Amino acid sequence: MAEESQRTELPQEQPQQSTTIPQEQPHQSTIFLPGSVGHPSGVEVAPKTTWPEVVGMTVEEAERKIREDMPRVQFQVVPPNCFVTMDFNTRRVRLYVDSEGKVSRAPRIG
Amino acid sequence: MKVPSVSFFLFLFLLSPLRETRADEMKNDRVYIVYMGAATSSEGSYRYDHAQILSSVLKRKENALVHSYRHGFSGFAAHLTEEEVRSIAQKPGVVSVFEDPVLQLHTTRSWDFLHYQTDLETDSKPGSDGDSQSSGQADTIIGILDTGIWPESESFSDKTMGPVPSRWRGTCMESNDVDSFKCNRKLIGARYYNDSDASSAVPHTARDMIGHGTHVASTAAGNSLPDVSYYGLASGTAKGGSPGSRIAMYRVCTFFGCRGSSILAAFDDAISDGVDVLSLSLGSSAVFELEFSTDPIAIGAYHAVAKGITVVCSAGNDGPSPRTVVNIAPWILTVGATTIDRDFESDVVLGGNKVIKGGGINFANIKKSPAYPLIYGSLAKSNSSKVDDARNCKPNSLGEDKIKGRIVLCDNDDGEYTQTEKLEEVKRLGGVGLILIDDEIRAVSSRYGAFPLTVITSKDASEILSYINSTTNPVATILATVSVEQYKPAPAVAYFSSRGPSYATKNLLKPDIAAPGVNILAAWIGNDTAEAPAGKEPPLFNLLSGTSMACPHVSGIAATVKSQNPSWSPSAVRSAIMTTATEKNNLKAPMTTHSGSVATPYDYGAGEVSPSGPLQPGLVYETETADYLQFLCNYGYDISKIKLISPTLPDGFTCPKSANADLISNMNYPSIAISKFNGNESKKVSRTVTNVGTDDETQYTVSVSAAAGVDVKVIPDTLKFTKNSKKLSYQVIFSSNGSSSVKGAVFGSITWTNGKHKVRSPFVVSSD
Repeated sequence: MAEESQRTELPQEQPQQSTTIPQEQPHQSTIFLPGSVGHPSGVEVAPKTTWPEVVGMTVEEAERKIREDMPRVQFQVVPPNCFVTMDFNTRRVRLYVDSEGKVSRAPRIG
Repeated sequence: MKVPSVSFFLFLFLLSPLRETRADEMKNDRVYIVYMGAATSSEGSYRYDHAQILSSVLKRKENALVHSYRHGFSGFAAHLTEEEVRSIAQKPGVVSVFEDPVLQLHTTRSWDFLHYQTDLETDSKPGSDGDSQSSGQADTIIGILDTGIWPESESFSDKTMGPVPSRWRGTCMESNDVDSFKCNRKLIGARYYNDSDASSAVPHTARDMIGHGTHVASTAAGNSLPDVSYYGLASGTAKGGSPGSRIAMYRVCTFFGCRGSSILAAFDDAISDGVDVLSLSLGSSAVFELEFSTDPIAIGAYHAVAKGITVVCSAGNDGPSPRTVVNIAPWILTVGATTIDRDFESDVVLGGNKVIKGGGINFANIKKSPAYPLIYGSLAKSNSSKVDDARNCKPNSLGEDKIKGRIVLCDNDDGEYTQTEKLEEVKRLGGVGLILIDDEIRAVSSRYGAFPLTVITSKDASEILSYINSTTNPVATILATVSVEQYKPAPAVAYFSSRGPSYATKNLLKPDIAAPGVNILAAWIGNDTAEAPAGKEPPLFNLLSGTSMACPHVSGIAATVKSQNPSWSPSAVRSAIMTTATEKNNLKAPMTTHSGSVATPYDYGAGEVSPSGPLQPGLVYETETADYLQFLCNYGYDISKIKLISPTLPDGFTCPKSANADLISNMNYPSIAISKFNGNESKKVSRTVTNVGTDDETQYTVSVSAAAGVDVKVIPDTLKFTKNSKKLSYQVIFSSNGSSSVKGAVFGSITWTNGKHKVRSPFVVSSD
């Protein structure tokens, strides 16, 4: 999501910055500083589906992929028909799996 | 002893009598303690910065000073306005500014914040009603379905408890773990449920191995414990909502999660054991959009409620996106999370001593003056990396030569790497500290151990960037965390708190209520070395965030209401909690969300819970089991599906032919929700209220806080209760007011008042 805001520009180097939208979409060139995840007041954003590419993978594959990027995140593998505690943990990623042990939804932090 | 002229000037004011302040003045102008750290070596003399600040305060108001500290440590206590507090807090040399504990209720903090908010609204005496367990009140038992409990915690000691109620039919299951698990007169029951999967290595015990259950239980009903803190932060008295209540723990969760089958079994046991309130800080993700008929929480709760047990559940942490609220059955009290007025501040000091307030919990111990070069991530990229990656301080994107010895300013919009990863990366490259830009996590204080990491808002980041642009040699430092109270605005809806509308139907407003769920201090398990910062003992009290924390606040209040009104049904308890909630914050303005926009009932339901209001609601909206069955019919369930939830139904029960989704709005619920409002026809709902006030003869009149584009008529507009007339009904007619059409959802409320009680029902009118 692109947010346009009148902010001070960066010195020298980078006259333009693109918003970093996780994975797919093409970058949009907008002046965008400093980074904030596109929350103009009153507008709600889509859930942070931070690793949609692991949906369908086995737990081992998904963990390996995510661990490549971040070795120290705590994982919780949630079997089907399981519920979870509702503490919000910024160091944890939950992997919900289906009956075949494949990741069934895009994991997000919390 | 060196006595500069400023000291002498101040000395005179120490002698002048304190001016008497009236109660209303006190509210705007309270006594604060400004703590400035070490005193000077010359005995009794003032530090120069201390003297400066004092004199600026005294210039404004002669008798502001209450006491000055200059022997063991440096600081002073004075009457200060909020503006002054903010300004003084920013000055270098000032470690913290906090309200004089003598004038405050107990801190740590959520209960006192809730009481304070209620008192602001009602102008009542601080500290009145709500938390004393006076004689004549019934014993209440709160059942908690969770990860288990740590029985040795002081929160669950039974020193103040009388004998276990004779009606209790629960048990304390033996455990096979190393330490024997013992119940007492406080923790009167404990059960555990092992996985149906025989290969899992879950120990046979109700002992908490995670911490969550212990934290939740102590928030709901923990003893009042003075002088607790999280390693010195957030210190004060920790207590549960209903410290006189008994606790029964049902361990249904393990490291993997909480099995549906265990949850159902626990409900079953809890009902037969005889709990009064059930608290579940559990749920599924909104993505699954569970059906009532296959959701063990909905099913179990239905039976519990039918048996007179009030069931309270957390709303979920999938916010801020809409339609993320879970545990949405109408028989459940669904709780969202808000912040409180305590902030964990870790400030950035820039060159020139400009202070930017950041958030987060760190025990940093670097220089207090801005001595370190400051660099923005995008200017610190390594040769081969992209600027955008470096801007977000992604691992392997930064050049060591640009990071070493520096404080690094990083964005956090990549959505790929956690704060911890970025912290580790900056640390690995020899960085001295990290300033992370993230509006969302600013309020939810994460733990960073000894590393100086602080989170700032994007607004503040612009200031820092301007500063960086303005000088060839930008410098900064990061200060260790201090807890700051009376943070404004508060409450604010937590960004993670799941939001309405309900994915099931827009004709029932969910969540129902909001309660403190950010940085809540409560009991922890006793052996958690992983949670201890380097070199420190495992914490006995820990800070957690989530709708998990909000839920037991409401459970505790529900238990208190029940103890004063043992005959009340779960719906009456729920109604009392909802109709006495507040939509205002400590600026006396409408509550906002984390982003600063005005919040709506989709964010907070009826509002922030009041701990004392529910004890005297005046009127209650009662919802019977038959109403819930009718709901299921209107929702579209046939008899066979309804039987999945309630296998036994009243004799001859069928769904009426007229059942339809619109009629869901007509359920006797404390809030009102209308959908498919196109303005061409009016929508009508009816409600019935029961007088539970002390006056049998009383008259209520209604007032409407309308929403744009909607005309709201309440008929009749007065309700006259008498000794023989305890239940009265009214109708609400929603129609277009002609001026503008409704697009999306609009909100308002109707309030019945008799001068003594205010009974407020929020409503939502949705065009689709």
